[in-house]
Amino acid sequence: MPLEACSISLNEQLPQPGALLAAGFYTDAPWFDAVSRFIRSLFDSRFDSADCVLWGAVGLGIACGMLGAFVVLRRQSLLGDAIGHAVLPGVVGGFLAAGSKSTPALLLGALLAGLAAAGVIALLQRTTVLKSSECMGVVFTGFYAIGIVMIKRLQNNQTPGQAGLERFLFGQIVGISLSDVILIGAITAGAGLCVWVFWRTLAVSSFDHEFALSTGVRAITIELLLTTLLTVAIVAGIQAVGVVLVAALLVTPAATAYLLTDRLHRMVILSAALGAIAGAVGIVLSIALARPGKDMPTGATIVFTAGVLFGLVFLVAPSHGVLPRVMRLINKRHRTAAENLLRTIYLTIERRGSDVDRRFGIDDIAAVRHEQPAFVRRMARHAARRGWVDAGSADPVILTDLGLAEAKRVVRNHRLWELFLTQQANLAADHVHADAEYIEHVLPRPVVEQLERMLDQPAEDPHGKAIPT
Amino acid sequence: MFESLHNIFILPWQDARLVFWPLILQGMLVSCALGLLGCFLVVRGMSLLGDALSHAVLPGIVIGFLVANHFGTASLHSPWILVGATAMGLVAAVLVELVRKQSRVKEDASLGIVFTTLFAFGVILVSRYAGQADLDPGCVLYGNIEYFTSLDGSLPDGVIPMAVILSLLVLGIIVFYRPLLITTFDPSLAVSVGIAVGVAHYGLMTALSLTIVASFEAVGAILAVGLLIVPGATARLWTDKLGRMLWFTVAFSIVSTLAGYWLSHRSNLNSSAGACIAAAGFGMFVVSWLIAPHAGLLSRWLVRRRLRRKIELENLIKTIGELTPVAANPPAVDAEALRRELHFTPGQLRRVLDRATTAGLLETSAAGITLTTTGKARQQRLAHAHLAWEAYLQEHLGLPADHVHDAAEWIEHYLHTDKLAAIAPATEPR
Repeated sequence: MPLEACSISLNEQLPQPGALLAAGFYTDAPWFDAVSRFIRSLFDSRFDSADCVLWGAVGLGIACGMLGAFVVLRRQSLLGDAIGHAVLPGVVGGFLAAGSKSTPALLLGALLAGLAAAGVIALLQRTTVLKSSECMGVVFTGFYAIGIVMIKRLQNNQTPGQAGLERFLFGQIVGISLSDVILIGAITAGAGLCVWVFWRTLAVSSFDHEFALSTGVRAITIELLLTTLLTVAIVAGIQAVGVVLVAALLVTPAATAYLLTDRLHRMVILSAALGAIAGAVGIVLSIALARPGKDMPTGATIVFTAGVLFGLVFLVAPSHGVLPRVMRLINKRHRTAAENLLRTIYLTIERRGSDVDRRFGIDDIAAVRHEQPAFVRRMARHAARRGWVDAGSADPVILTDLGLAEAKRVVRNHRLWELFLTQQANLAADHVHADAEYIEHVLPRPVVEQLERMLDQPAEDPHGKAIPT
Repeated sequence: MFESLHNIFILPWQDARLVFWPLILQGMLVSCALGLLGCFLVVRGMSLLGDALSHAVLPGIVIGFLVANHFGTASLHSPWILVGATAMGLVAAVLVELVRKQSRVKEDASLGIVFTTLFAFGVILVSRYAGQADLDPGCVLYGNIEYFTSLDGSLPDGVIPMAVILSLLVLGIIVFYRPLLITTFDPSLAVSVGIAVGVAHYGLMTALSLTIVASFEAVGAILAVGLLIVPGATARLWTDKLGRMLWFTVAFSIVSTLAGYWLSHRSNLNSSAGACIAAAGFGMFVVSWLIAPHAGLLSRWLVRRRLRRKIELENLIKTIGELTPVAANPPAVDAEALRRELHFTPGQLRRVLDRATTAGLLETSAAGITLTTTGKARQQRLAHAHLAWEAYLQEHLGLPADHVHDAAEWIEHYLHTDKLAAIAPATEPR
């Protein structure tokens, strides 16, 4: 399959580190030397290219992270990618209008094309059956194709000064200049101000669009506000750092923050901070890991850093992470096993008629439960870890006072539930055991109290057994 | 006149130096294969997955290249690249599902994260391990159908593999049409009748990565996404049936390929047929958006205008009825009084009166306006519908009598004879 011209050239889409390294930050010395030189250069008296790159990336990370929080909540995460590509015909239009590649003309053209694309997307959503993702896909590829056709036309006509116009989308973060940094700073401040002023509107409409409309907020106002802010940030971002980096900075930090908190204001702040961190860490890493002949592309490193950061948070985030969730699940399973052991023990106590002898043989329990003794031993270990049985004795199992109380609680839950099902849900007495078997482990205290009140502090379950207190 | 039309539309196809049919064939194969897959993405609401995969396969391409290099075939034509890219496409699809299912992050964000990160990983791999292979940067951005070909009449390199992929796709769609249809529109039903929904999803993803990678060289990454989504979305505007949508898509793909070639030769854009095809496809989408039979803006506007005119007319007739005292031979109604009552502008009133007169519903004389027999019948039916609905709301929904007028005012225009018959027996107008 001939992929010759395609495969390798993709790196054009993300900026290369060349300029920064050529500027003297790369050495043969160990990587911390290169990094420390970079960091020292940030704090020397003059504001040089290293400062520009760092502050450019950090500023963009803050702006994109902040706006990205709303984009992610509104499920429009790919809007950055879409608008980023759709600005191309505007760039060419700006060039044609100005007659040269003057930055303000290109930016203005890009801004207009971006807004036009967002407008067409919104119009398509309202007037067709197509879903929002289709509208985005159609519009951005269409605009992009028109832009490419325009560029090719200029190239074929050998219009003077057009060379490199197509690179507008692919930015060079290491070629970022002081004026770029100032622009990014101004946009970050402006976006921050807008978010602060329109906080309520943005927050309400991001979570509950219909409710926002019912309170008298005009849908068009919110859309226009957010889209304009986004387009401005995207346009400023792509000419500095490229489409893919902007698209990533809009989504990844915000989604990472979304996994870490349930409060919008924390999410916005966290997302901005994560964007800034990804920018800074990415730049430092790209310097640190570069070797002769083995460049570390700066933009790609920033994107990758943000992605890895998300991956970590995805795994370990306290309440929404995968590992804590798995841990909670395992813990729950162990607890259920231990509680089942306690219930069997309690039934044995009931048969014996007294709880004076707290010793129970593993084999006896296994016989009652119809389970392997090895399995019962594992249950006993889970119970011992919770202090319900004596950790010192594996066989026989010795019930502690805490264990006895816990056993009573579990049996009580079980029998209350059986009673509830027979009395209130009209189930037959021989149909309720399996359900109670499951529910006894998950009944919270307030529900148990409610059941007691509802059933009028019962003494016996439907099978005539005493409900322990 | 005909001379110039001939020059514009016919001549380009006759000049053997400009038209190279194998290239057009390649363009058609690429756009049909992408378009057919795109149909399923569009109806499944996963359009942007194509965008994501087209970026996410990059590390696969680089790894495939490195593996090929390791085995001594230092060529970029190696099948390893296709294998690597397809595998990476599947990995991306799995990661997207994983993030979506295992966290609260929604699908769109999950796509955005996975594709940017994998793409960045690919770029890092390229610059660290394959940096020497410095090739035309234009290709992946714009694609270049004519890049690999000479005009000696031989087939372009991409044609045979693309033809194989397209035949496999068509075969797959024919054989698995039913399972694909069911998993697309009713995944729960699919599960209950024993269709492996996951297999269908990942099968589609495999086909998608393979096709996207194979079409890169012809049209480039972004434009491939255009060819993927646009024909399907266009077809979606023309029909609601999946089967017809597939046919429409094939037709749109072929027409936009031809139009794209025509455009590229017409404007001397010899090297960017891919972009021209995508632009032509977008043009067809915009045209469809305007004129498609039910979903098009034009037909929607016409439907609305007809409805608006009907309501205007009926309000006019009703108001004439209200302003006319009940008598055997009622006096004519003054036009100015009518206008004030209806809040019409003079021009609007004139237009509505004209339409009503043409329809034979009323007569205008020097004394004023009177309803004809047809007009009276229409007015009575409206009044009947209004009263019937009011009574229906009061009796069956228990609404208070002073709450039913507005609803009836609105529904009277829509309540046709058959529906009226369903309501009226239970509730005689009072």
